[in-house]
Amino acid sequence: MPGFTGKILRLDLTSGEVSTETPPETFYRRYFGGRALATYYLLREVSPGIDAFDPANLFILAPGVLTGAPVAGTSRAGVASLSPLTGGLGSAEAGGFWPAELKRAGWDAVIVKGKAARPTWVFIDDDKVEVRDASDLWGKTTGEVEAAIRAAVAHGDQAGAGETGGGGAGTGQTGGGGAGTGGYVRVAQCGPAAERGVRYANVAFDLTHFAGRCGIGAVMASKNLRAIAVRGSKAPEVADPERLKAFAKWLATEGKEQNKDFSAYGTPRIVLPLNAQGGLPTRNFKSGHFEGAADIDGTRLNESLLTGTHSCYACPLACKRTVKADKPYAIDPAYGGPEYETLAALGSCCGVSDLAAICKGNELCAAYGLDTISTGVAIAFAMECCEAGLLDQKATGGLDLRFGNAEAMVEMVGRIARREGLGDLLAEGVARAAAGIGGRAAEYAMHVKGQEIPMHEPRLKHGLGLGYQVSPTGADHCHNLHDTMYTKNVSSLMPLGILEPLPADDLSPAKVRMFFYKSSWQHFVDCAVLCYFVSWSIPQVVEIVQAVTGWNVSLWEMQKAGERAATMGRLFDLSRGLGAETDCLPDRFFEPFKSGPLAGRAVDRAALDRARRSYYAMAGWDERGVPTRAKLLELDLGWAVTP
Amino acid sequence: MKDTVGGESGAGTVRVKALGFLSTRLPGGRPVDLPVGSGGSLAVREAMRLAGLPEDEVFVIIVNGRKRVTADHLLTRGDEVTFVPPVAGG
Repeated sequence: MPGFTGKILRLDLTSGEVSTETPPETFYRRYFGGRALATYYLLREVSPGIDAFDPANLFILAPGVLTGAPVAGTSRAGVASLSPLTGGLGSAEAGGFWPAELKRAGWDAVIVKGKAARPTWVFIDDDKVEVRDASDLWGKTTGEVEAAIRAAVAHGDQAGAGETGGGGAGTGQTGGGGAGTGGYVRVAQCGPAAERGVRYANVAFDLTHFAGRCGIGAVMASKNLRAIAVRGSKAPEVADPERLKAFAKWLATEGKEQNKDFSAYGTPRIVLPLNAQGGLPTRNFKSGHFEGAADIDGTRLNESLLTGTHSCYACPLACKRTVKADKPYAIDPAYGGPEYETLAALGSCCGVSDLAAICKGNELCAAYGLDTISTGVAIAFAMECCEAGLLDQKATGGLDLRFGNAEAMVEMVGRIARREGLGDLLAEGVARAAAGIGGRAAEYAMHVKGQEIPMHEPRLKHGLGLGYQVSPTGADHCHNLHDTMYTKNVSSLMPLGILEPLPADDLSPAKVRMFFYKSSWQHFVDCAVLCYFVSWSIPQVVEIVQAVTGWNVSLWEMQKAGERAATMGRLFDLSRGLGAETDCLPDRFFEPFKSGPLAGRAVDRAALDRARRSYYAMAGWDERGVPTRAKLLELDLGWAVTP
Repeated sequence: MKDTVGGESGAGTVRVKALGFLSTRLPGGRPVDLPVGSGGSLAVREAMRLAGLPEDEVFVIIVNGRKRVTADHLLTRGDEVTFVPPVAGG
């Protein structure tokens, strides 16, 4: 059927059972895929009280109704589980080629439970599913595993079409046939950091596309699952291919100008603008202005270490960076290059202006499978603890771990991945690390619900701060509002009924409404699953969903789906004890900057508290931040109503 | 190398720069020198217009690398004005 295959793959790695679930069309129309689809299963099947590393946790890979369509920005999938970092909803997205390939193979999602007896990897070859031995992959870098899996599949192909494959840990097949057509295999994997249970270990698609946040990679590894490779032979069905061709033509002509700078420079070119605005996280958020910003901006990256760009399936933007170097750090271009979050997290947030060191840190995070945001903020936390005298040279293993020490930053990335010395403590996340250190360490731990703060300053973007508080996944900058974009021009938000711009530091009910509507839209986008970086307008996205699915779906319905996803995430968090008392920002954001363009500026605690309460009310949650029964019924979540 | 919009380069001019994607709006994608009028000053708003920068794409305006100003500010000879766009995630 257009937009979905109607088949969800279920793997139980304890029993070895492989089965297929076939939800009705209404399921896909209600949830669309991605975050909502994953949270549906997490709510229904993961009991409160179980630990994230318990085999009963689910590991879910969920594309959406748009995935696999010949439209730029649609080859994306959600990745989800109970998070080992926050203890609540873990939900992140990544692009590349793997998501489209899963739809080509005929699957809408993969849901894994249980734990294999030995390290395994899974090969999905159309409808043939094999669980294979990964003993010789365990401990290897993501690059080594990708190469080994491709070689294994190629060898299997060469061995003959009659081979049914598998061997090792056990095999399971969902049906006959489907030996593949010799197409290109795509790999989703966690890395060696996940194998060691680093709580912010990520999941990678195609080596350079990362579902970074929430530590879902560590859950994958806890199941003794190192990789899921997929190969598909059939282009997913779309309802109106001619209408979609018109979009591709628009992007190549009128839309090209809009995307030109992004294609050339990617996300790294926002470093200097944020710095000039006073909102570039610097030295663990102590400042918003970094003296070394020009050294780590996208313009400098393009002039120095950038050797090329690369892209996702069906997208002409090629916004992904490729970086190569030999000295002083050998950097392998197979791992791509840094995005903005990485340049800031390993750079300005650590006081580091050495671009080569940051690129090396990015490469190590890719090879080991670490979220760069959490890694950078954890290192910055350690640097501040050292400077405050809470950690001495014995604790750091002789490392001079101070802000600005680029070599120390690079070394700590490796120690976190390998859980060596102080790295073992930092691998637990800043919240747990602070509890382990004691004293004033908690003041330096920059997180919400245990997830490290991303590289966007609430003292610049005040509505974003509200979004950090109430996000179901802890601090998150994606399903959030970037206030500075809407201080003069709200034309892109007008289809949502946002008609007037607002100052970036406004936290009035009008700003809460802007946040509520925009974040609901972003939650929908994370269900569809669509890239944020292709310049499709909201009306264009509505048309694209209609053209792919053939549904008479409206923007209103999509907004409701986004609201549904956010509310389901809230229910999951509440069932794990993450409620209103965790909807709070670190104290640092209520302290004014001492210098820089925003000197004297802080988030107003009382205004933010009023905004939080306004959000609860607008979202249909009670004063404790619990979705009301009426709201759940209105969102078609009657099954989630507790008697 | 400097581009100018009317007038002589270097004499009685202000330098216009832009950060991020906004820099691609400038002629040739590079800093521009604009002549200061006979009154000895040039309004920032006028500088934006002459340089081809849409006002609603500018979030912050900085003069001489330090001072934040509004579009009503008057630039004088030798000033450098930087236009900074709003930016979202990355």
